Amino acid sequence: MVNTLKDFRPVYVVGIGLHRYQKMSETTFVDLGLTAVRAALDDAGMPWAGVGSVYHGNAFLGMAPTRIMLRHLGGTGIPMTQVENASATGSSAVRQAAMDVAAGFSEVSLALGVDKPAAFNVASSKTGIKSLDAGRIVPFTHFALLADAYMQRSGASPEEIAAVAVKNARNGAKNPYAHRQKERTLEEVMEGPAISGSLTRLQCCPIGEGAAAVIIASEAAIKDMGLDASRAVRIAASVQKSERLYDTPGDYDAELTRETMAACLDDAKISIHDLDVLELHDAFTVEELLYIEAMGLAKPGQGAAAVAAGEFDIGGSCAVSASGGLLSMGHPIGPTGVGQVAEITRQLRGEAGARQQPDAKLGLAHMLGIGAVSLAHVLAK
Amino acid sequence: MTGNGSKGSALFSESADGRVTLQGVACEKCGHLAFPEQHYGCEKCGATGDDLVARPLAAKGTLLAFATVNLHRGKDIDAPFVVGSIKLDDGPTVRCTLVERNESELVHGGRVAGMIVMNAKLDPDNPRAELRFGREG
Repeated sequence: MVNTLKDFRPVYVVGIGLHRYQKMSETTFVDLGLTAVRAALDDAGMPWAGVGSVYHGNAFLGMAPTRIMLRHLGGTGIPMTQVENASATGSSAVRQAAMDVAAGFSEVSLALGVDKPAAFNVASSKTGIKSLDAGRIVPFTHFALLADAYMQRSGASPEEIAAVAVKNARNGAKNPYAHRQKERTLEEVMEGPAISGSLTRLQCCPIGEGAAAVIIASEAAIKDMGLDASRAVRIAASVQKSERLYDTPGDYDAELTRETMAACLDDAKISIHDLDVLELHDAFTVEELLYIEAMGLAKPGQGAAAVAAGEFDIGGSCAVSASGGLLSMGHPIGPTGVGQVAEITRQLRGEAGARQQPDAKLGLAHMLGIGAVSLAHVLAK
Repeated sequence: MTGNGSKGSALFSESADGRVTLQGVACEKCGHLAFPEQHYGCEKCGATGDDLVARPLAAKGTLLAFATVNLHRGKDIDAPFVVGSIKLDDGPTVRCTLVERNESELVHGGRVAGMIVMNAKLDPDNPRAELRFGREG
Protein backbone atom coordinates (compact mmCIF):
# COMPACT_ATOMS: atom_id res chain seq x y z
CA MET A 1 0.00 0.00 0.00
CA VAL A 2 1.43 3.33 -1.08
CA ASN A 3 0.34 6.45 0.77
CA THR A 4 -0.57 9.75 -0.82
CA LEU A 5 -0.97 13.17 0.79
CA LYS A 6 -4.60 12.46 1.74
CA ASP A 7 -3.48 9.58 3.96
CA PHE A 8 -1.70 11.98 6.32
CA ARG A 9 -2.89 14.91 8.42
CA PRO A 10 -4.10 17.92 6.40
CA VAL A 11 -1.67 20.68 5.44
CA TYR A 12 -2.44 24.29 4.55
CA VAL A 13 -0.81 27.22 2.80
CA VAL A 14 -0.91 29.99 5.42
CA GLY A 15 1.47 32.55 3.95
CA ILE A 16 2.63 33.65 0.50
CA GLY A 17 5.23 36.16 -0.62
CA LEU A 18 7.02 37.10 -3.81
CA HIS A 19 9.76 39.25 -5.20
CA ARG A 20 8.72 40.42 -8.64
CA TYR A 21 10.00 38.29 -11.51
CA GLN A 22 12.18 40.57 -13.64
CA LYS A 23 15.12 40.88 -16.02
CA MET A 24 18.47 39.90 -14.54
CA SER A 25 19.83 42.73 -12.45
CA GLU A 26 22.42 43.54 -9.78
CA THR A 27 19.94 42.51 -7.08
CA THR A 28 21.51 39.69 -5.08
CA PHE A 29 19.77 36.36 -4.59
CA VAL A 30 19.86 37.16 -0.87
CA ASP A 31 17.76 40.27 -1.42
CA LEU A 32 15.37 38.41 -3.72
CA GLY A 33 14.86 35.57 -1.26
CA LEU A 34 14.57 37.65 1.91
CA THR A 35 11.98 39.88 0.25
CA ALA A 36 9.80 36.87 -0.57
CA VAL A 37 10.22 35.15 2.81
CA ARG A 38 9.55 38.30 4.85
CA ALA A 39 6.44 38.97 2.74
CA ALA A 40 5.23 35.41 3.35
CA LEU A 41 5.80 35.68 7.11
CA ASP A 42 3.93 39.01 7.16
CA ASP A 43 1.12 37.48 5.12
CA ALA A 44 0.85 34.54 7.52
CA GLY A 45 1.18 36.79 10.57
CA MET A 46 3.85 34.61 12.14
CA PRO A 47 7.50 34.95 13.16
CA TRP A 48 10.46 33.31 11.42
CA ALA A 49 11.05 31.36 14.63
CA GLY A 50 7.84 29.45 13.91
CA VAL A 51 9.21 27.87 10.72
CA GLY A 52 10.44 24.31 11.29
CA SER A 53 12.06 23.39 7.97
CA VAL A 54 12.97 24.86 4.59
CA TYR A 55 12.95 23.38 1.09
CA HIS A 56 14.61 25.82 -1.27
CA GLY A 57 14.25 25.34 -5.02
CA ASN A 58 16.99 26.75 -7.22
CA ALA A 59 18.88 25.57 -10.27
CA PHE A 60 21.45 28.29 -10.87
CA LEU A 61 22.73 29.67 -7.57
CA GLY A 62 25.48 27.11 -7.00
CA MET A 63 26.18 24.95 -3.99
CA ALA A 64 24.69 25.76 -0.59
CA PRO A 65 22.83 29.06 -1.07
CA THR A 66 20.07 28.57 1.49
CA ARG A 67 21.51 29.14 4.95
CA ILE A 68 23.77 31.99 3.89
CA MET A 69 20.61 33.75 2.66
CA LEU A 70 18.24 32.86 5.50
CA ARG A 71 20.73 33.46 8.34
CA HIS A 72 19.74 37.13 7.99
CA LEU A 73 16.35 36.22 9.45
CA GLY A 74 18.13 34.91 12.54
CA GLY A 75 19.71 31.48 12.79
CA THR A 76 17.28 28.98 14.31
CA GLY A 77 19.08 25.76 13.44
CA ILE A 78 16.23 24.26 11.40
CA PRO A 79 16.84 21.75 8.58
CA MET A 80 17.37 23.42 5.20
CA THR A 81 17.52 21.50 1.93
CA GLN A 82 18.16 22.60 -1.66
CA VAL A 83 15.86 21.12 -4.29
CA GLU A 84 16.51 21.00 -8.05
CA ASN A 85 14.12 19.57 -10.60
CA ALA A 86 14.63 21.74 -13.70
CA SER A 87 11.57 23.91 -14.46
CA ALA A 88 9.60 21.99 -11.83
CA THR A 89 12.13 22.85 -9.11
CA GLY A 90 9.76 25.07 -7.12
CA SER A 91 6.92 22.55 -7.43
CA SER A 92 9.15 19.88 -5.91
CA ALA A 93 10.06 22.26 -3.07
CA VAL A 94 6.32 22.70 -2.37
CA ARG A 95 5.81 18.94 -2.43
CA GLN A 96 8.72 18.31 -0.05
CA ALA A 97 7.46 20.95 2.38
CA ALA A 98 3.91 19.59 2.23
CA MET A 99 5.10 16.03 2.88
CA ASP A 100 7.32 17.25 5.72
CA VAL A 101 4.37 18.81 7.55
CA ALA A 102 1.87 16.09 6.58
CA ALA A 103 4.10 13.38 8.00
CA GLY A 104 4.73 15.37 11.17
CA PHE A 105 8.44 16.02 10.73
CA SER A 106 7.63 19.68 11.22
CA GLU A 107 4.58 21.78 12.08
CA VAL A 108 5.48 24.55 9.64
CA SER A 109 7.66 24.30 6.54
CA LEU A 110 8.81 26.96 4.09
CA ALA A 111 8.80 26.17 0.37
CA LEU A 112 11.01 28.74 -1.26
CA GLY A 113 12.17 29.39 -4.81
CA VAL A 114 14.96 31.86 -5.53
CA ASP A 115 16.93 31.98 -8.75
CA LYS A 116 19.10 34.02 -11.05
CA PRO A 117 19.22 31.93 -14.22
CA ALA A 118 22.56 32.22 -16.00
CA ALA A 119 24.07 29.88 -18.58
CA PHE A 120 22.17 26.60 -18.70
CA ASN A 121 24.29 23.58 -17.81
CA VAL A 122 22.17 20.50 -18.34
CA ALA A 123 23.24 16.95 -17.58
CA SER A 124 21.81 15.57 -20.82
CA SER A 125 24.87 16.94 -22.61
CA LYS A 126 27.17 14.85 -20.40
CA THR A 127 25.72 11.36 -20.76
CA GLY A 128 28.18 10.31 -23.43
CA ILE A 129 25.24 9.48 -25.72
CA LYS A 130 25.57 11.41 -28.94
CA SER A 131 22.69 13.25 -30.53
CA LEU A 132 21.68 13.71 -34.14
CA ASP A 133 20.33 17.22 -33.60
CA ALA A 134 23.76 18.61 -32.63
CA GLY A 135 22.32 21.06 -30.11
CA ARG A 136 20.07 22.66 -32.71
CA ILE A 137 16.79 21.56 -31.16
CA VAL A 138 16.59 23.60 -27.96
CA PRO A 139 13.29 23.86 -26.02
CA PHE A 140 11.71 26.51 -28.25
CA THR A 141 12.36 24.36 -31.30
CA HIS A 142 11.15 21.21 -29.55
CA PHE A 143 7.85 23.05 -29.02
CA ALA A 144 7.92 24.59 -32.51
CA LEU A 145 7.93 21.03 -33.88
CA LEU A 146 5.09 20.07 -31.53
CA ALA A 147 3.21 23.22 -32.61
CA ASP A 148 3.59 22.19 -36.27
CA ALA A 149 2.32 18.69 -35.49
CA TYR A 150 -0.57 20.18 -33.46
CA MET A 151 -1.59 22.41 -36.36
CA GLN A 152 -1.50 19.42 -38.70
CA ARG A 153 -3.78 17.26 -36.61
CA SER A 154 -6.13 19.94 -35.22
CA GLY A 155 -6.35 22.37 -38.12
CA ALA A 156 -5.50 25.24 -35.76
CA SER A 157 -3.78 28.25 -37.30
CA PRO A 158 -0.60 29.97 -36.03
CA GLU A 159 -2.81 32.88 -34.94
CA GLU A 160 -5.03 30.61 -32.86
CA ILE A 161 -1.97 29.28 -31.03
CA ALA A 162 -0.63 32.83 -30.56
CA ALA A 163 -3.96 33.84 -28.97
CA VAL A 164 -2.80 32.05 -25.81
CA ALA A 165 -0.13 34.75 -25.41
CA VAL A 166 -2.74 37.50 -25.83
CA LYS A 167 -4.88 36.01 -23.04
CA ASN A 168 -1.94 35.49 -20.69
CA ALA A 169 -0.52 38.97 -21.38
CA ARG A 170 -3.94 40.41 -20.45
CA ASN A 171 -3.71 38.58 -17.10
CA GLY A 172 -0.04 39.43 -16.53
CA ALA A 173 -0.82 43.13 -17.01
CA LYS A 174 -2.87 42.90 -13.81
CA ASN A 175 -0.15 41.13 -11.81
CA PRO A 176 2.37 43.39 -10.02
CA TYR A 177 4.76 40.43 -9.62
CA ALA A 178 4.79 39.54 -13.33
CA HIS A 179 7.90 39.86 -15.48
CA ARG A 180 5.79 41.08 -18.42
CA GLN A 181 3.07 43.50 -17.33
CA LYS A 182 1.85 44.72 -20.69
CA GLU A 183 -1.25 43.77 -22.66
CA ARG A 184 -0.53 42.62 -26.21
CA THR A 185 -2.67 42.45 -29.32
CA LEU A 186 -2.60 39.43 -31.61
CA GLU A 187 -0.83 41.60 -34.18
CA GLU A 188 1.91 42.46 -31.68
CA VAL A 189 2.38 38.80 -30.79
CA MET A 190 2.47 37.70 -34.43
CA GLU A 191 4.79 40.42 -35.76
CA GLY A 192 7.78 38.76 -34.17
CA PRO A 193 10.67 38.54 -34.07
CA ALA A 194 10.25 34.97 -35.23
CA ILE A 195 12.10 32.52 -32.99
CA SER A 196 11.35 29.03 -34.28
CA GLY A 197 8.57 27.66 -36.44
CA SER A 198 5.37 29.56 -35.69
CA LEU A 199 6.65 30.70 -32.28
CA THR A 200 7.45 34.39 -31.99
CA ARG A 201 9.26 36.08 -29.09
CA LEU A 202 6.07 36.84 -27.17
CA GLN A 203 5.05 33.18 -27.47
CA CYS A 204 8.16 32.19 -25.49
CA CYS A 205 8.37 32.80 -21.74
CA PRO A 206 10.84 35.34 -20.35
CA ILE A 207 13.51 33.82 -18.10
CA GLY A 208 14.72 36.27 -15.49
CA GLU A 209 15.28 36.48 -11.74
CA GLY A 210 12.80 36.41 -8.88
CA ALA A 211 11.68 34.72 -5.70
CA ALA A 212 8.54 33.11 -4.33
CA ALA A 213 7.76 31.75 -0.86
CA VAL A 214 4.91 29.64 0.48
CA ILE A 215 4.51 28.74 4.16
CA ILE A 216 2.82 25.39 4.79
CA ALA A 217 1.40 24.57 8.22
CA SER A 218 -0.53 21.91 10.13
CA GLU A 219 -3.89 22.56 11.80
CA ALA A 220 -2.10 22.40 15.14
CA ALA A 221 0.33 25.12 14.09
CA ILE A 222 -2.49 27.35 12.84
CA LYS A 223 -4.21 26.99 16.20
CA ASP A 224 -1.09 27.26 18.37
CA MET A 225 0.21 30.37 16.61
CA GLY A 226 -3.22 31.95 16.31
CA LEU A 227 -3.02 32.21 12.49
CA ASP A 228 -6.05 33.29 10.47
CA ALA A 229 -7.64 29.94 9.56
CA SER A 230 -10.12 31.66 7.23
CA ARG A 231 -7.23 32.54 4.89
CA ALA A 232 -5.64 29.08 4.99
CA VAL A 233 -5.85 27.05 1.77
CA ARG A 234 -5.54 23.28 1.91
CA ILE A 235 -3.16 21.35 -0.30
CA ALA A 236 -5.53 18.51 -1.14
CA ALA A 237 -3.26 16.46 -3.39
CA SER A 238 0.34 16.32 -4.54
CA VAL A 239 1.59 14.05 -7.31
CA GLN A 240 4.97 13.80 -8.99
CA LYS A 241 5.90 11.55 -11.88
CA SER A 242 8.66 11.08 -14.42
CA GLU A 243 8.68 10.22 -18.09
CA ARG A 244 8.49 6.64 -19.28
CA LEU A 245 8.32 5.22 -22.79
CA TYR A 246 5.16 6.27 -24.64
CA ASP A 247 3.65 5.14 -27.91
CA THR A 248 3.82 8.70 -29.24
CA PRO A 249 7.50 9.75 -29.27
CA GLY A 250 8.01 13.50 -29.07
CA ASP A 251 4.72 14.09 -27.26
CA TYR A 252 6.08 12.96 -23.91
CA ASP A 253 5.28 16.31 -22.27
CA ALA A 254 1.57 15.84 -22.91
CA GLU A 255 1.57 12.13 -22.05
CA LEU A 256 3.41 12.78 -18.80
CA THR A 257 0.97 15.58 -18.04
CA ARG A 258 -1.98 13.28 -18.76
CA GLU A 259 -0.74 10.65 -16.30
CA THR A 260 0.24 13.12 -13.58
CA MET A 261 -3.02 15.04 -13.78
CA ALA A 262 -5.16 11.90 -13.76
CA ALA A 263 -3.43 10.65 -10.61
CA CYS A 264 -3.67 14.03 -8.89
CA LEU A 265 -7.36 14.57 -9.70
CA ASP A 266 -8.12 11.02 -8.60
CA ASP A 267 -6.31 11.56 -5.32
CA ALA A 268 -8.24 14.79 -4.70
CA LYS A 269 -11.45 13.03 -5.78
CA ILE A 270 -12.39 15.81 -8.17
CA SER A 271 -12.98 16.18 -11.90
CA ILE A 272 -10.91 18.49 -14.11
CA HIS A 273 -14.17 20.35 -14.75
CA ASP A 274 -14.45 21.20 -11.05
CA LEU A 275 -11.41 23.47 -11.24
CA ASP A 276 -11.92 27.24 -11.02
CA VAL A 277 -8.27 28.19 -11.58
CA LEU A 278 -5.39 26.38 -13.25
CA GLU A 279 -1.77 27.42 -13.50
CA LEU A 280 0.11 25.32 -16.02
CA HIS A 281 3.48 25.06 -17.72
CA ASP A 282 2.88 27.51 -20.58
CA ALA A 283 6.54 28.21 -21.32
CA PHE A 284 5.48 28.31 -24.99
CA THR A 285 1.98 29.10 -26.26
CA VAL A 286 1.32 25.72 -27.82
CA GLU A 287 1.92 24.03 -24.47
CA GLU A 288 -1.24 25.49 -22.98
CA LEU A 289 -3.27 23.90 -25.80
CA LEU A 290 -1.44 20.56 -25.60
CA TYR A 291 -1.93 20.31 -21.85
CA ILE A 292 -5.53 21.46 -21.51
CA GLU A 293 -6.34 18.77 -24.08
CA ALA A 294 -4.19 16.16 -22.30
CA MET A 295 -5.87 17.05 -19.01
CA GLY A 296 -9.34 16.73 -20.52
CA LEU A 297 -10.26 20.39 -20.04
CA ALA A 298 -10.77 20.60 -23.82
CA LYS A 299 -11.47 17.82 -26.30
CA PRO A 300 -8.58 16.69 -28.55
CA GLY A 301 -7.99 19.33 -31.20
CA GLN A 302 -10.47 21.74 -29.60
CA GLY A 303 -8.11 23.61 -27.26
CA ALA A 304 -7.58 26.58 -29.58
CA ALA A 305 -11.31 26.94 -30.15
CA ALA A 306 -11.94 26.86 -26.38
CA VAL A 307 -9.35 29.60 -25.85
CA ALA A 308 -10.96 31.66 -28.62
CA ALA A 309 -14.37 31.19 -26.97
CA GLY A 310 -13.02 32.66 -23.74
CA GLU A 311 -13.49 29.49 -21.69
CA PHE A 312 -10.12 29.98 -20.01
CA ASP A 313 -10.32 33.73 -19.47
CA ILE A 314 -10.72 35.16 -15.98
CA GLY A 315 -14.48 34.90 -15.61
CA GLY A 316 -14.64 31.84 -17.88
CA SER A 317 -15.36 28.27 -16.79
CA CYS A 318 -11.77 27.86 -15.55
CA ALA A 319 -9.24 30.69 -15.46
CA VAL A 320 -6.05 29.28 -16.98
CA SER A 321 -2.84 31.15 -16.12
CA ALA A 322 -4.65 33.97 -14.30
CA SER A 323 -1.22 35.05 -13.03
CA GLY A 324 -0.10 35.59 -16.62
CA GLY A 325 1.44 32.12 -16.63
CA LEU A 326 5.03 31.43 -17.51
CA LEU A 327 4.45 33.49 -20.67
CA SER A 328 3.79 36.73 -18.79
CA MET A 329 4.41 36.21 -15.08
CA GLY A 330 7.69 34.70 -16.20
CA HIS A 331 9.83 31.66 -15.58
CA PRO A 332 12.76 32.29 -13.24
CA ILE A 333 13.07 28.45 -12.90
CA GLY A 334 13.46 27.93 -9.13
CA PRO A 335 10.57 30.20 -8.04
CA THR A 336 8.10 29.31 -10.81
CA GLY A 337 6.32 26.36 -9.20
CA VAL A 338 6.19 28.10 -5.82
CA GLY A 339 4.77 31.21 -7.47
CA GLN A 340 1.99 29.13 -9.06
CA VAL A 341 0.90 27.92 -5.60
CA ALA A 342 1.07 31.49 -4.29
CA GLU A 343 -1.19 32.64 -7.14
CA ILE A 344 -3.74 29.89 -6.58
CA THR A 345 -3.76 30.59 -2.85
CA ARG A 346 -4.42 34.27 -3.59
CA GLN A 347 -7.24 33.31 -5.96
CA LEU A 348 -8.89 30.89 -3.52
CA ARG A 349 -8.71 33.48 -0.75
CA GLY A 350 -10.47 35.97 -3.05
CA GLU A 351 -7.51 38.35 -2.77
CA ALA A 352 -6.42 38.47 -6.44
CA GLY A 353 -7.88 41.93 -7.09
CA ALA A 354 -8.26 42.83 -10.77
CA ARG A 355 -7.42 39.29 -11.90
CA GLN A 356 -9.76 37.53 -9.45
CA GLN A 357 -11.61 34.50 -10.81
CA PRO A 358 -15.11 34.86 -9.31
CA ASP A 359 -16.00 32.44 -6.54
CA ALA A 360 -12.80 30.39 -6.93
CA LYS A 361 -12.76 27.36 -4.62
CA LEU A 362 -10.59 24.77 -6.37
CA GLY A 363 -7.27 25.28 -8.10
CA LEU A 364 -4.49 23.22 -9.59
CA ALA A 365 -0.82 23.94 -10.27
CA HIS A 366 0.90 21.91 -13.01
CA MET A 367 4.57 21.97 -13.93
CA LEU A 368 6.96 20.06 -16.15
CA GLY A 369 10.72 19.95 -16.03
CA ILE A 370 13.12 18.76 -18.68
CA GLY A 371 14.28 15.27 -18.12
CA ALA A 372 11.27 14.91 -17.98
CA VAL A 373 9.42 15.29 -14.70
CA SER A 374 5.93 16.50 -13.90
CA LEU A 375 4.12 17.70 -10.79
CA ALA A 376 0.56 18.63 -9.92
CA HIS A 377 -0.91 20.10 -6.74
CA VAL A 378 -4.60 20.57 -6.00
CA LEU A 379 -5.50 23.40 -3.64
CA ALA A 380 -8.92 23.74 -2.06
CA LYS A 381 -10.67 26.39 0.01
CA MET B 1 32.35 7.21 -44.34
CA THR B 2 31.25 7.54 -40.76
CA GLY B 3 30.05 10.46 -38.71
CA ASN B 4 31.55 10.27 -35.30
CA GLY B 5 32.18 12.00 -32.02
CA SER B 6 35.21 11.60 -29.84
CA LYS B 7 34.16 8.30 -28.30
CA GLY B 8 31.99 5.30 -28.96
CA SER B 9 30.36 4.12 -32.14
CA ALA B 10 29.24 6.37 -34.95
CA LEU B 11 25.69 7.74 -35.08
CA PHE B 12 25.52 6.97 -38.77
CA SER B 13 27.49 5.48 -41.62
CA GLU B 14 27.45 5.45 -45.39
CA SER B 15 28.15 2.35 -47.44
CA ALA B 16 30.24 2.31 -50.59
CA ASP B 17 27.08 2.37 -52.69
CA GLY B 18 25.82 5.49 -50.89
CA ARG B 19 23.25 3.95 -48.55
CA VAL B 20 23.09 5.79 -45.23
CA THR B 21 22.26 3.92 -42.04
CA LEU B 22 21.72 5.12 -38.50
CA GLN B 23 23.23 3.11 -35.70
CA GLY B 24 20.44 2.05 -33.39
CA VAL B 25 20.20 -0.48 -30.60
CA ALA B 26 17.87 -3.44 -30.15
CA CYS B 27 16.99 -5.09 -26.87
CA GLU B 28 16.93 -8.85 -27.34
CA LYS B 29 15.07 -9.29 -24.06
CA CYS B 30 11.98 -7.13 -24.74
CA GLY B 31 12.34 -6.24 -28.43
CA HIS B 32 12.57 -2.48 -27.89
CA LEU B 33 14.30 -0.70 -30.75
CA ALA B 34 15.87 2.70 -30.17
CA PHE B 35 18.15 5.34 -31.62
CA PRO B 36 20.91 6.23 -30.94
CA GLU B 37 22.95 3.24 -29.89
CA GLN B 38 23.77 3.06 -26.20
CA HIS B 39 24.72 0.25 -23.89
CA TYR B 40 23.85 1.68 -20.47
CA GLY B 41 20.56 -0.21 -20.42
CA CYS B 42 17.24 -0.67 -22.22
CA GLU B 43 14.83 2.22 -21.58
CA LYS B 44 11.90 -0.15 -21.63
CA CYS B 45 12.99 -3.14 -19.54
CA GLY B 46 16.38 -2.24 -18.07
CA ALA B 47 18.26 -5.08 -19.75
CA THR B 48 21.94 -4.47 -20.31
CA GLY B 49 25.10 -6.26 -21.38
CA ASP B 50 24.72 -8.84 -24.15
CA ASP B 51 20.97 -8.20 -24.36
CA LEU B 52 21.66 -4.89 -26.11
CA VAL B 53 22.89 -5.26 -29.66
CA ALA B 54 23.76 -2.68 -32.29
CA ARG B 55 21.09 -2.51 -34.99
CA PRO B 56 21.56 -0.51 -38.21
CA LEU B 57 18.43 1.42 -39.18
CA ALA B 58 17.79 2.59 -42.74
CA ALA B 59 17.96 6.38 -42.89
CA LYS B 60 14.61 6.60 -44.65
CA GLY B 61 11.28 7.68 -43.34
CA THR B 62 8.34 10.04 -43.29
CA LEU B 63 8.49 13.71 -42.37
CA LEU B 64 6.06 14.25 -39.48
CA ALA B 65 6.75 17.89 -38.62
CA PHE B 66 9.21 20.65 -39.44
CA ALA B 67 10.15 24.12 -38.22
CA THR B 68 12.40 26.92 -39.40
CA VAL B 69 14.85 27.88 -36.66
CA ASN B 70 15.49 31.63 -36.76
CA LEU B 71 17.44 31.96 -33.53
CA HIS B 72 20.52 29.80 -33.01
CA ARG B 73 23.44 30.62 -30.75
CA GLY B 74 25.82 27.95 -32.05
CA LYS B 75 28.44 28.62 -34.71
CA ASP B 76 27.90 25.25 -36.37
CA ILE B 77 25.20 26.46 -38.77
CA ASP B 78 23.77 29.78 -39.88
CA ALA B 79 20.12 30.47 -39.04
CA PRO B 80 17.61 30.27 -40.52
CA PHE B 81 17.68 26.53 -41.08
CA VAL B 82 14.99 23.89 -41.00
CA VAL B 83 14.73 20.92 -38.64
CA GLY B 84 12.33 18.02 -38.86
CA SER B 85 10.83 15.14 -36.96
CA ILE B 86 11.14 11.94 -38.98
CA LYS B 87 9.42 8.60 -38.41
CA LEU B 88 11.93 6.05 -39.64
CA ASP B 89 10.62 3.13 -41.67
CA ASP B 90 12.44 0.90 -39.19
CA GLY B 91 10.49 2.29 -36.22
CA PRO B 92 12.10 5.01 -34.09
CA THR B 93 11.37 8.71 -34.59
CA VAL B 94 14.40 11.02 -34.91
CA ARG B 95 14.90 14.76 -35.13
CA CYS B 96 17.47 16.20 -37.45
CA THR B 97 18.51 19.21 -39.52
CA LEU B 98 16.99 19.12 -43.00
CA VAL B 99 18.83 19.74 -46.25
CA GLU B 100 16.08 22.03 -47.50
CA ARG B 101 16.27 25.61 -46.25
CA ASN B 102 12.82 26.62 -47.40
CA GLU B 103 9.67 25.09 -45.91
CA SER B 104 7.87 25.49 -49.25
CA GLU B 105 9.99 22.59 -50.52
CA LEU B 106 8.62 20.28 -47.81
CA VAL B 107 5.33 18.49 -47.22
CA HIS B 108 3.99 16.76 -44.13
CA GLY B 109 4.00 13.04 -44.67
CA GLY B 110 6.57 13.36 -47.45
CA ARG B 111 9.35 10.84 -47.96
CA VAL B 112 12.79 11.86 -46.68
CA ALA B 113 16.17 10.16 -46.53
CA GLY B 114 19.45 10.73 -44.73
CA MET B 115 22.27 12.39 -46.65
CA ILE B 116 25.85 13.07 -45.65
CA VAL B 117 26.77 16.75 -45.78
CA MET B 118 30.22 18.17 -45.15
CA ASN B 119 29.93 21.06 -42.70
CA ALA B 120 32.91 23.44 -42.67
CA LYS B 121 31.33 26.05 -40.40
CA LEU B 122 33.34 25.11 -37.32
CA ASP B 123 36.66 24.33 -38.98
CA PRO B 124 37.12 25.14 -42.70
CA ASP B 125 40.30 23.04 -42.81
CA ASN B 126 38.63 19.98 -41.40
CA PRO B 127 34.99 19.79 -42.52
CA ARG B 128 32.85 17.51 -40.40
CA ALA B 129 30.61 14.84 -41.85
CA GLU B 130 27.07 15.62 -40.77
CA LEU B 131 23.82 13.78 -41.36
CA ARG B 132 20.85 15.73 -42.62
CA PHE B 133 17.57 14.49 -43.96
CA GLY B 134 16.15 15.71 -47.21
CA ARG B 135 13.51 14.87 -49.77
CA GLU B 136 14.02 11.40 -51.13
CA GLY B 137 15.12 10.90 -54.70
